[in-house]
Amino acid sequence: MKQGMKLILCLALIFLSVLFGGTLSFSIDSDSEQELKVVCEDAEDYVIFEKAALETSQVPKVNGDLIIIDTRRLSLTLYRDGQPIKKYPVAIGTPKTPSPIGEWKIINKGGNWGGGFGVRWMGLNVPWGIYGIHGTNKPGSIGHASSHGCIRMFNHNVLELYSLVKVGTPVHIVGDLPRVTIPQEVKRKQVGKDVLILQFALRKAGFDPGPADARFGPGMEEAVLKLQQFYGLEPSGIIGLNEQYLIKVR
Amino acid sequence: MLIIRRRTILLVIFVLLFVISAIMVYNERRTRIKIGDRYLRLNTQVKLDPQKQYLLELWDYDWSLALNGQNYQDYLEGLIAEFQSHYPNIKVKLRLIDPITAPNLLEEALKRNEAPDVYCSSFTIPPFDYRQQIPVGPYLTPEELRLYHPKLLQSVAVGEIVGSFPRWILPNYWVGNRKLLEAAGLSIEKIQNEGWEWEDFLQINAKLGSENYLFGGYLGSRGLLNYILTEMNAWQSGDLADSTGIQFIRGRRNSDFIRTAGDELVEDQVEVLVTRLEQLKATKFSKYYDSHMLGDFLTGKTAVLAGIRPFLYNFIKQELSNRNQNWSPVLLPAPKIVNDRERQLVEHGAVSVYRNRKTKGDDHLLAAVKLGQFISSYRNNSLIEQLSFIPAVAEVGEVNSDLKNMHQLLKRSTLIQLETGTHQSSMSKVIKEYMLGKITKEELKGALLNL
Repeated sequence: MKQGMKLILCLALIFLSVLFGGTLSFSIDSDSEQELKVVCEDAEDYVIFEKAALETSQVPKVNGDLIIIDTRRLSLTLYRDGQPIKKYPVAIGTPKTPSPIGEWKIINKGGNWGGGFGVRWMGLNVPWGIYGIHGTNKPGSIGHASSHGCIRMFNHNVLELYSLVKVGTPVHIVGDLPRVTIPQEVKRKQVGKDVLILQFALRKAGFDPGPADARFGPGMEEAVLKLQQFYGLEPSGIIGLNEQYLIKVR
Repeated sequence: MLIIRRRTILLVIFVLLFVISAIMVYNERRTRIKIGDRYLRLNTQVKLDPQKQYLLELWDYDWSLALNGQNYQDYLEGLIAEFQSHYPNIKVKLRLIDPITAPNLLEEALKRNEAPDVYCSSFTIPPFDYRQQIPVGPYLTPEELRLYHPKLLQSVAVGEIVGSFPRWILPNYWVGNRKLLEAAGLSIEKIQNEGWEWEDFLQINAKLGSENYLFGGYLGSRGLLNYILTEMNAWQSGDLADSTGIQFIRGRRNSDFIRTAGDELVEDQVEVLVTRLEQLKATKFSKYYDSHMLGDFLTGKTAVLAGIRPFLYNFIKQELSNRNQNWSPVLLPAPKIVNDRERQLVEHGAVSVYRNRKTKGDDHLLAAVKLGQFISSYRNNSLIEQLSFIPAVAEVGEVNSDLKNMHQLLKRSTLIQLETGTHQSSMSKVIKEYMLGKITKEELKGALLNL
């Protein structure tokens, strides 16, 4: 009898661990994100650790619509002309498949695809994979770090958000920046998490590169040139070791 | 047929005489001033009208980036408030501008006759604009002029006239690692007080005898190489600085820096230049010096950084204090490279006064001059120390020893106006090729003579 009780207790514990732990750690949802393609070049001997985790949670003052997804509070807030008008709970990526921190924009909107995508899809211009904001067929996962990196919402919430925003709306995903190795030289046309880190660091140093979208474009090059001219370095537009020291990523 | 009565003719003559005499009286009050090769009339005797409200527009750079989190705007607003306590009827509208794009902004504004009343430049003295700029010297008494460092007054002079107010200079600092230099047997104090020779500089490498101990800042636009080139240029120009203590090797922006001032290099000058480069190359020269300059210096691998902006020096000081290093950076004069003369490359901050479409009378210009004078002579040692600039006022107050040393150095050195373009000069390219081993010494000589 006692053994029977133990068995039932064990089964109950396993059931509970699968129910809760599984939601957090083992649930495999049907998001269609591709395998994470990380552009992370090999540096010689420098690795960024906690220095890279810059604070990104301040709400910028922008006119028009802005979506801010706070990965620490698991919430999505829609701002209009700087004022919050809607706030929704979301699910974000797991620690192994994190949501992409950065300043993106909605590049496409899709209808009712069903399954793991729920009733609506809004794609983001993340350069290292396919990420978006979408509904879900697993409402129990909302409020947890459980996706493959996409931002999951309740279907009724995503329907509402979908109707409120347009393609081109900026989407800032804030939270802890990824740890990456910064190569010794980063220049125009490069894309990746290392570029993203440098964009945040440039901004913090007072040289605004424009949106932190992980793309080394003309705006970022201009910011680098300004940094170099300000400190009296050779104006090359390339982020080398000296520039990395100056923006404190080394 | 038109009949003109004699009375009408007399009236016209009377009016004409009145107008002519009015113009003459008006001009009489205006001093004729020769500035450069032109003449200008200014009413320098005008007084401010205490009943009138003056509104001045002031443009200055936002130095907050160099102030380690301090807000430069707060400082400026404090300065303006103090100015207004002396001149309550002068209101100042402040505009903070980007240091990099500012020269273009001013140029555009001048084209539209919309320049600010008072403009503070950051790195260079804007070329004197004969149409709209007001030379400030004629408004000042000899006592007021004596407040400024004479060399810096020279730097802002147009002919015999002081064109703008000097504000401060940004020396192109040489920074040393005290521990390494002392290990190499050099006395920092002696170098700071008496200068040092080219051979001393070369021997750091030999005395330290380790592959880790290198020089830094060779090839950059303001590094050692540029120093040598500029010195060559100064030498070539016949050391014009003898009488004035300041030398201008100025080119237009983006121009070929070294070639703007004088004639082509002659054979004996090329010989000296090549010898210096050969000596440098014989040290453990590495093409990575420039790209690793900061990191190597911060980690104590480099003895000397040649030629850096004050902001970079401040950054180094700050970083070293964060890293708890057991050595300190020291400011050094540049070694005597070409002959036994000490020369220092500097950039200038100046305050210029302009007339524009909103200028209302001579007294308005006087108000602008008063503001410019107040800004240029305003003493705030804490700001000066944080920026590591040298103030234009002749005597510095209680500042740290670093700045005191530099002030002494600037008194005894020839100052060379540094104006770097945004691209390499053709001479600089050839020299880099030689230093990096891409061409031989003979090829370098040939190239230098035929540039």
